[in-house]
Amino acid sequence: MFPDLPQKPPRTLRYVEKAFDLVKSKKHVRDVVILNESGHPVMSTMDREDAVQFSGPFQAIRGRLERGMSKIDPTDELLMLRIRTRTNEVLLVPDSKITLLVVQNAHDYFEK
Amino acid sequence: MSKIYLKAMEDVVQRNTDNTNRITEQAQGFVVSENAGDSLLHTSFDLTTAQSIVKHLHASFLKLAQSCVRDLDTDDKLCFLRVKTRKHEFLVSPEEAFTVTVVL
Repeated sequence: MFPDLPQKPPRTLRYVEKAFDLVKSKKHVRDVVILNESGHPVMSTMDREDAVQFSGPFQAIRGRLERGMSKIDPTDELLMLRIRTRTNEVLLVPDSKITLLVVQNAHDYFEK
Repeated sequence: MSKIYLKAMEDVVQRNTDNTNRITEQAQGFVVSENAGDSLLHTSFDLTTAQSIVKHLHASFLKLAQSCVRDLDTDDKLCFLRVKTRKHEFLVSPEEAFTVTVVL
C-alpha cells in the first residue's frame, strides 16, 4: 500500500561507539557530543552537565533551521551545519537516529 | 529609507560589482540584507527566493544562532555559518551592518 521509503541503516551501539572514537581521534577536535533521538547526550567528552548545557542551544538552532529550510525549499534536507565563532568551530551533523556535535579548533583565521 | 542612504547604498553596490561578478561565476547566487531592518539590499536571485532567504535565514535562524553562541560563552561571537543541505549550501557571513549569504 505504502511506497517503500529509503531504508536508513540501523544505528547500533557499536556503530555509535565506533563513530565516537573515530571523530575523537581526529586532529584539532576538542570535544565530541553524541545525542540520541530525544536530544539527550549519550556519549560525550564533556561532563554530563556541560554536555546538556552545550547541546541544548544547538538543538534549538537545528530546529529553527529545519523549519526555515522547509519554507525555502520543502524537498530539501539538512545534512550538516557548521558554526564558526571567534574561538572555535562547531559542527552539527544529523544522522539517522543520532546527532553528532563536534567542537574543533578552526582552520581559518578571522580578524574580529 | 532616506534618499541619501539609498544613494550611498547604490555607490557601495557599484564599487563592488567586480566582487559580486566573481561570486556569481562560482555560485548559484548571493543575497545581501541590512541588519537593522532585515530588508533586502542586493541580490542576484529573483525577488521571491531572495525574500525567502532573508526572512528564514537572516532574520530568524541567524539571530537565534548568534544568541545561542553568546549564551554559551559571553566573550564569543559568531563569525561565519555554513549550512549544507542535500541540494544547496548556504554560506552566511554576518557583518556589522550587513549580512551576506552565498548559495553554492
